[in-house]
Amino acid sequence: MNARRDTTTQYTIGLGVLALAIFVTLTFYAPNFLSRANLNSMGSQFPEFGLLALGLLPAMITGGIDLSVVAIANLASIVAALLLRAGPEYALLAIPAALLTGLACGVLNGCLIAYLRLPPILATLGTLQLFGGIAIVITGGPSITGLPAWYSAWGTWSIGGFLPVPLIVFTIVAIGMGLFLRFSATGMRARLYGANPLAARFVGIQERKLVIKIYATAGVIASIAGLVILARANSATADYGASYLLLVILINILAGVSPFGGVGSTMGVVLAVITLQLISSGLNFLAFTAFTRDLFFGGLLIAIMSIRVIAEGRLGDFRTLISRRQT
Amino acid sequence: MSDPVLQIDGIHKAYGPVRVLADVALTLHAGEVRCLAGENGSGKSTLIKIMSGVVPKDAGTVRIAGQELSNDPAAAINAGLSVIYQDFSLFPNLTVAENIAFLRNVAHGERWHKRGSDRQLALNTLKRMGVDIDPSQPVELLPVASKQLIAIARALANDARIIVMDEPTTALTRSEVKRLQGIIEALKKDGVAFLFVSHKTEEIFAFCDTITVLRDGRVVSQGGADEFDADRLGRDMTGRDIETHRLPRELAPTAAPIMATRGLTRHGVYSDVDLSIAPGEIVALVGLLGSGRTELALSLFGQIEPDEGVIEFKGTIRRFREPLEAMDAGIAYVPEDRLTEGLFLDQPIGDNISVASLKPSGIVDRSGLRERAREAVKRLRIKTPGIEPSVATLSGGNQQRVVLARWMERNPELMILNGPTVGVDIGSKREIHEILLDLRKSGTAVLVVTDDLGEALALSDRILVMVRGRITGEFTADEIDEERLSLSVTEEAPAR
Repeated sequence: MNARRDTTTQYTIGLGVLALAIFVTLTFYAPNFLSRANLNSMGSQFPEFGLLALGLLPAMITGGIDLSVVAIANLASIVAALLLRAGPEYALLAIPAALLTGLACGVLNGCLIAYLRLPPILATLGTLQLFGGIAIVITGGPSITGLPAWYSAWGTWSIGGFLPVPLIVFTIVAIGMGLFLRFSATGMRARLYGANPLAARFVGIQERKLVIKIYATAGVIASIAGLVILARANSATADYGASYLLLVILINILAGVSPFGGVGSTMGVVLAVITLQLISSGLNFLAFTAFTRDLFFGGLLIAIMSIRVIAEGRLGDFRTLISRRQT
Repeated sequence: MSDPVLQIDGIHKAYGPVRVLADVALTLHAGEVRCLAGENGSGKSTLIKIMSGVVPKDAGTVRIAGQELSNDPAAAINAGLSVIYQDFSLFPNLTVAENIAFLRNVAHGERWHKRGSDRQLALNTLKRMGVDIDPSQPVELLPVASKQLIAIARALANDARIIVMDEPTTALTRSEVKRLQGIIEALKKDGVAFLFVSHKTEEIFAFCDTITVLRDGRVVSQGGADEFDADRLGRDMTGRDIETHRLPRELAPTAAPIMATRGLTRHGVYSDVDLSIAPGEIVALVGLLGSGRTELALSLFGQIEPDEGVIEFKGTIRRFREPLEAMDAGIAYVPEDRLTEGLFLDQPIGDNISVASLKPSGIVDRSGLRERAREAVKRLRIKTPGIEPSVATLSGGNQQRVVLARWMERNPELMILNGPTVGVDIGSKREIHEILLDLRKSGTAVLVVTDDLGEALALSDRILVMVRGRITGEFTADEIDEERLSLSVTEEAPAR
């Protein structure tokens, strides 16, 4: 039998080298790249979609997907915005309320998948529309503005002038996610469940509880992203970040997360987020138009996936061998 | 003798560094029934897949009626070679007629679905076989034996001259086997050649004219069926004298049963099952595929809920609604299909062992778990450089030991094993049996569900026979021999 080689670690290292190479190249070819202003702006740009990518990660590790993360982020930011605007006595409730909104949305996703056994892609496609719809009805369309100055201030703060607060939030969530996936019983179960749901049933893994926990986690992280977006944009809109959804999936695939479940690391996602941000900034510096961004992202994704399949050698052979043996 | 209809020469095949077939040759003449005999893992399945063009060969030729075949399933089908896999590969949602006509329609490149001609073809083919089945019935409603006949009819409808059958009698009762024999006799007279793939002695001698034995990817012997007897066949397949002796053991101390069922019934699957099993006892539950043995075992583990009857565990009546409840009560279950139900193939060996003993939530002690997994690997002599490689890198016997290690970590009081040595080489099989005897010695109750009668006789203290959902016999292992056990397993069901 030809066993599949596990190339996850080498792949993650490769991704790190790629990010570093882009960084070094830009340092040489774009004189202003290393300026504090630029680093600061990059550091406050990527946390919001980085957070969304982290929210998607556990769902993908269980072999599912959560298409509703962006909609949850927007709904949570609208809830927070309404409370912030309602007056100082409600303002303290804004953050807990947004997090609760994310939790509720995530639990709903989890229940649809766990109890009705809807495929995750369909369940969350449905809730994507649902949450977006609720957001539109609440706002009536236009964005909610007029937030208290103290709230939006933190979106642009930098500690010591170079560590933007959103970046700190992202770092904390990333470390938390890394610990969760690696050291918690639930994280281990999620990975094994993603690798083989049927075998998981035979070792007493409670599928429903696990699925609900995972999608609830995704919902909460999405709502944190919503709070960051609210602070940065200084307003809440029902259709903010429409292009983020595909970007966030792209990040996870680039991070080496298997769309079939069972494989994926937080480090991979962090590196993928940074790589894409570097490419996107780099294109600006090298005077490409914004329109070329998708071209580069798409090309990179295809190239990396192809290289990976080739590097893993006879992966296809092995998969067919296994599937035949199962008949 | 005339020219062979099928001639295979010098077949080589390797998956990566692992050689699966080496210089395999085989011939088949019109009207001949040849058995391709071999243990699990001897390369039989790969050889069939090469013949049918599903798997590419590294070297060698496959000729049908003198014509060399390319690596293309359609070419093999067009040349008149049909393979009937163990699960028959029928379309359950289509009718009998559509299933029978399917291969022919594909082979002839039919563009349109013609209900009338499909039906006529099905009727003619079934008549040729002397079988009476309504062609407009959906296949999923038919019993297993009829499905097999449909699969044969499908091959015949496409003018098959060579029919390869993979373990054809696994799910058949005695009278169904007789009927299959009759049909095959009739088709032999028409000049159809059969290649039976099997490792079951009874099946081989009941059907075959000639035998080719495959071991570790090589042909080790071949000849007429009359040149072989069960002993020689067993020796050739395994490379050693078969162990028919019961494994030595001390007498089981009499103890109150740890688990007992009364009137356990699941409609249409098993009914009125009374069984009991005591600590320090190995009980074998034997039955054909589809006898309800697996479903019964799953019910004891909380994976399937019975409709009626009670399960008593350690003196109290329990209802296990999910495996976790059964696990917490002290029950372990080693599933039938290691690859799909037992293992997380792409995942590390260590995690595959630790998974059943993770705590409900919170932070896990990873280094502690790894240490315990390492000890388990050592204790069960699993051959691996470490616990980090994925479990897919192990051989069948070692994979099964990983599953055993997983459950032994929990010190279960009742261990249920479904087909514990399927697809395991003969040496590992013996060692797995010894592990189970050790468990018995330490006071664990062991229930082994199996269709390997030799295994049941060698391993167990008591044997329960299941036929069509009912326990029809109970023997102590030393009062019965393999022949009588086989008769009782393939017996016709009493009327329900």
